[in-house]
Amino acid sequence: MAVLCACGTGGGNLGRPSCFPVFDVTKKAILVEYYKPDGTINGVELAGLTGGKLDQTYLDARIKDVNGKTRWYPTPELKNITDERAEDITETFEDTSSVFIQEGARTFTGLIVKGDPVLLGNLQKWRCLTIGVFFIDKSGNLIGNENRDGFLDPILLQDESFSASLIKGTDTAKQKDSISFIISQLENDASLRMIEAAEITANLISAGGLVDVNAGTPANVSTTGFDVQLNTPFGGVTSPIPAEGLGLADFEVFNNTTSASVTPISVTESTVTEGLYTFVIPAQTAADELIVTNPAVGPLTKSFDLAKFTVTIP
Amino acid sequence: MENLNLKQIIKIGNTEFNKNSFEGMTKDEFKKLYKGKLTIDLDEAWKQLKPNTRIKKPKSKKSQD
Repeated sequence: MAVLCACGTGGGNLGRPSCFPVFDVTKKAILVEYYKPDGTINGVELAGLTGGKLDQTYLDARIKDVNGKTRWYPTPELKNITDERAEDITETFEDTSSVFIQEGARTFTGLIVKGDPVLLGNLQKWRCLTIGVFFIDKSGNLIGNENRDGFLDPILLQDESFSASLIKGTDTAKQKDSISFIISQLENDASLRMIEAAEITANLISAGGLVDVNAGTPANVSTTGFDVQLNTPFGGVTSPIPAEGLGLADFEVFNNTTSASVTPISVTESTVTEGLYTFVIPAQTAADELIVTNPAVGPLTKSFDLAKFTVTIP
Repeated sequence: MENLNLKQIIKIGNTEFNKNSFEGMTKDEFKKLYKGKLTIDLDEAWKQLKPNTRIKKPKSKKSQD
């Protein structure tokens, strides 16, 4: 961001309080879509924090938001962080003197230990979006910027700068995903601010993102129920890691043929096959199509994000 | 659809039931619906789902006199 010259007011004061907090090393990033669907910035409204504290309820509402466009997506812990500005861009003259033109770009890189192709694929989905990022530092501070009064906003990334790649393991190194991005030139380091860890009662530093859940082909479908295997995309192709622990409140069933919601009577998780669920529903009409999704109203109760699936009543 | 209120959910074994779904349902209907679907005892599950179900005794003639 261009730094305005304070020609009319003189330079800024350079004194400091005797004791004040500073940012610690970054441990995690929280990726967000920079703009909400209504066009406003997807920031933290400070007046919306209960008692001025960022509590667990607030954090859960953001991380487990059913709306993926306003959700927060915390990364796993990041290692070997670099977050540095390149050299200033200057114009040099024949007498070897130079003048400042603009700051160099700030580039961020980090490694996710045990990063895998599934996570890589999800990271790659961010590339085309207008991305904002909050940082969580080692002390548990939440770092963003304060471009608007009353908000801690995410830091805008330069369009198309987000990159992720897989670094395969070696004899001496673990497999990793690497991420890198460039901070937008519209951002100014002088606007960086934080919600101090002391004002955060939520367990921010250990916050994790949602895990995708995909459904297999529904089986034993009748007018009053069906079975379905729910797995995460992680694990082997023949041994996917199942999504365990889901319950009645984690699903919404909608009859797409009659455009009516269907309230399941019960959901049973198999005690024999992990991730196999049996749904019992009020009797439906043959040939009706049911759509099963996350609940329409959040936050989600578990850390799973179910991809919608359909069931056709026989 | 509104999310299920946690108070509406009762967990028996590995099954989460929506208590409201059993209003008006008879025990026979319940047992028919869940035949072969649960590893828990259906009679016991029914007792927990409908704890206040009582068979009404017909009024005796004596009390009407």
